[in-house]
Amino acid sequence: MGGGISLAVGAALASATLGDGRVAVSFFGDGAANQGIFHESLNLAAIWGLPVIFVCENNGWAESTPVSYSTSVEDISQRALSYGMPGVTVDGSDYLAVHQAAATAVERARQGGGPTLIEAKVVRMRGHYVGDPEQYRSREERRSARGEDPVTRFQEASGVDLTAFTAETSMELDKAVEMARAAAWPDPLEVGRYVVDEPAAKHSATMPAPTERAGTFRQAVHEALAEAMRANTSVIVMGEDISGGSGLGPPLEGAMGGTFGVTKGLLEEFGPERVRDTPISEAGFTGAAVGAAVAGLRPVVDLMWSSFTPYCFDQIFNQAAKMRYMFGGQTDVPLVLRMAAGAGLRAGGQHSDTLYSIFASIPGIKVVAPSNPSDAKGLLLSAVADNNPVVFLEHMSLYRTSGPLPEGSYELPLGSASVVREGSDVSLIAVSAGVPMALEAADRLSDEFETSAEVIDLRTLSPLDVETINASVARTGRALVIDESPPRCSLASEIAALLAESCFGRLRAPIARVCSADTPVPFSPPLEDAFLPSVERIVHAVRRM
Amino acid sequence: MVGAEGRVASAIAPGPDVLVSWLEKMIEIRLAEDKVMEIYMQGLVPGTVHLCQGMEGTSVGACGALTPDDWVVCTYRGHHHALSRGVDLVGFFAEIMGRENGVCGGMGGSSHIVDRSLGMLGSPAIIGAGIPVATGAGLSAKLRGEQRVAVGFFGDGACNIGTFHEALNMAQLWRSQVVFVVENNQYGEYTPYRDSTALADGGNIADRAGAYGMASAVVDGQDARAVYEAVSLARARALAGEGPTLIEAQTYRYRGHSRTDPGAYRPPGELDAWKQRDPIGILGDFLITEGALAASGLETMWERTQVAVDEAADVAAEGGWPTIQQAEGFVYAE
Repeated sequence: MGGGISLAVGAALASATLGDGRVAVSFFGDGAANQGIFHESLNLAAIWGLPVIFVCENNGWAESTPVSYSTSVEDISQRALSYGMPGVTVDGSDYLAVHQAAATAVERARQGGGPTLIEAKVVRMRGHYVGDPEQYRSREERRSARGEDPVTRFQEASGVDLTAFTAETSMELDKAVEMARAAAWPDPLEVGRYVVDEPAAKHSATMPAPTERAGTFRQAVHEALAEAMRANTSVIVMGEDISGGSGLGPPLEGAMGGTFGVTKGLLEEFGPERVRDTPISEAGFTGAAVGAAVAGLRPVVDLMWSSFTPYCFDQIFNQAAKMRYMFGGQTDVPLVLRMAAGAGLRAGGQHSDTLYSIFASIPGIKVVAPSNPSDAKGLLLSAVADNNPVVFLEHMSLYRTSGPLPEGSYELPLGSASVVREGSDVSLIAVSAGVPMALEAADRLSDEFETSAEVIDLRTLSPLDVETINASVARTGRALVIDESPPRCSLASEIAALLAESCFGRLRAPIARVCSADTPVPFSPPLEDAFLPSVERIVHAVRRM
Repeated sequence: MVGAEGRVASAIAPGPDVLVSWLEKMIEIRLAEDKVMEIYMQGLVPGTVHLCQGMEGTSVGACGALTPDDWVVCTYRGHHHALSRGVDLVGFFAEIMGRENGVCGGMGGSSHIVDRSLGMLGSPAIIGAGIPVATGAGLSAKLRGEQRVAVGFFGDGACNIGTFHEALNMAQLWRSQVVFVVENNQYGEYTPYRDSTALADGGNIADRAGAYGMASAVVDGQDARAVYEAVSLARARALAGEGPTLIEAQTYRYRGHSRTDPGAYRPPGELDAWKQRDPIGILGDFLITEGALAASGLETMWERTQVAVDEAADVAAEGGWPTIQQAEGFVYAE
């Protein structure tokens, strides 16, 4: 409910950015006007002065609840005042009144005057769904609703005789239903079609030349954003404080460039239209990014911390992930959602989550979690070029780490793991900040216990590179998965299940997992250290195999 | 204060002794926050901290209008709320250091200083997450027929998040016994609030109450007495079944958003201008002018409080670390 409001804001954002003169209209019901997304979207549209019209069809009933039970004011249009936006209530059964209000709003939007909220008070002549017995409505109310039939009222007001037209249309509708009925069912074997857009060639990756140049993980992410924005003017970045917290004007001295400084400097090169500070409205601006993505832009959203994404889970899970599939492949959603993730920085229970398996379990989105600067740059460039929504997780402990960082633009394939150390006794399967940990553990296993460990950096969690994992474990016969999430229903559990299905006969020991504790992330340093996977725990787990 | 019916009323003025105790509390908060910075630099504080120097008037004035039975929901910038509700200084510092003698046993840290025995229900580090919680607490009080209210404190940045809208609609619809206090400290993290908040020309955040048919007030958050008056009236309205109130307390944080933020995005002179209207200075001057406090008494108050703060921090630093066995017991209720 209400999810579409932010999509329209995003479409208007695309229109304003591309300068194509279009206006976006969002239709929603009275029930949706009590959703948070309504508030966030109207605020966003108002501060950005976007060409969007919000049309609230107030039919008096949200499912079976009358509007007076759900809405604290009589006229929903009154809520426009909160945003300094015009708000009008019109008789929605009066065709001409609605047309006039809409024409005024559209004209205003096209002239750069920003959004309008139109509340069209209408009647609901039927139930909430077909077959709704409507016991909650009185006979009188239903009868009087039918008396407001907009077609009858149009006929009365205009004096136009619609008899012949009605008969003709009725025949057309019968014919259309007949044709639809005669059509075949979709092929059940094609149930997986449309989930994601896969390019014909598996990957057109442009591998970087070996480099002597070193850089930090933070710099890698920054360079990828800058390269992507230079290459394609439809790429925009948006998020809280990303242009530096200086509002819409030129950056002030000491501007931050986001909480982690990743976007610092982008505003100077690309301007405030393409480097957008947002209000603290995760659902509103993520939804707007989805809308902008389906209307011609390639937005990269900075969500700051992964722990904030539950606020925009509808936009990720119900909108971005499902639009392509539900619309039969008509719509690509080229969107990247960047966020810092992970524990170890004493950031406490609500700023430390990884959410790997939460995101990786959603069909329709891809999930990337790089472990080093070179991969981060190439994978982020691929994510921006990808036509699907991609969640890009940046582990907080990695921002300051350094490594080789090729110059220029290059893309690394999504869905391809990397064997970062070869070995023969055990496969250590790791992701993000777990990779440097696994490498250190591999050194210790080799030095102290004469055990040869292979280390796989997953890099992409969805799609998962099952081939590389299987090939390694088939060779070593032992698998240990390192995952910073709590163990239940984790990424580690998923990989263990896949290996049990595909490599059972080759296993020389039970598959093992090193995960975080089965608790929220604790604040106190000794507890947080004990909560997390560690080199010690990896070595210990391998020794027990 | 303007009610939904346009009614203006006044609250019972607190006596001199009460005002002196408020002043002492504000000084305690100021010195405690300075101390947090000091022990941070000594490496005793893990993670980051969000300090509130300059905002003492809002919490002390608001909490001055409450009884011990009232509920409070605050935010990650919540040190002043916690101390205003009477959180013990040792438990306060120990929590910030992650020690077992902290008010949450070291599980929460600086952002989550919650003492349930003092009516504190939470201090989310997720923007706006506390607003519906306060609404629900106020509803609980109403349904159970209790003479208490819930106060939801949140910042200007939270007024653009969906929970603000959803909670205010429900609170008004259900006449929840809740008072919403927006501490408008002018910046949502690093962004001036007017750049992120669409308002009518010259309008205030409190005007958004109109979208819910709710009463509202704008007060000088640097004047604890003004905040007290607005919250007192709102509390009385809520208990009389007249519904919630949205109060905007205009204030300022002297420090940046978090420990690493120097606040360099602020225009030159802005901080100094606000410091001219320091909440401790305003109440102190008032009490001296009224003859309720001598200048020497004020000086003694600062000295005495400094000693108490230093001692508490020292005791806190002697606390042990929590154990994993303790922590595991906190995940589920038995």
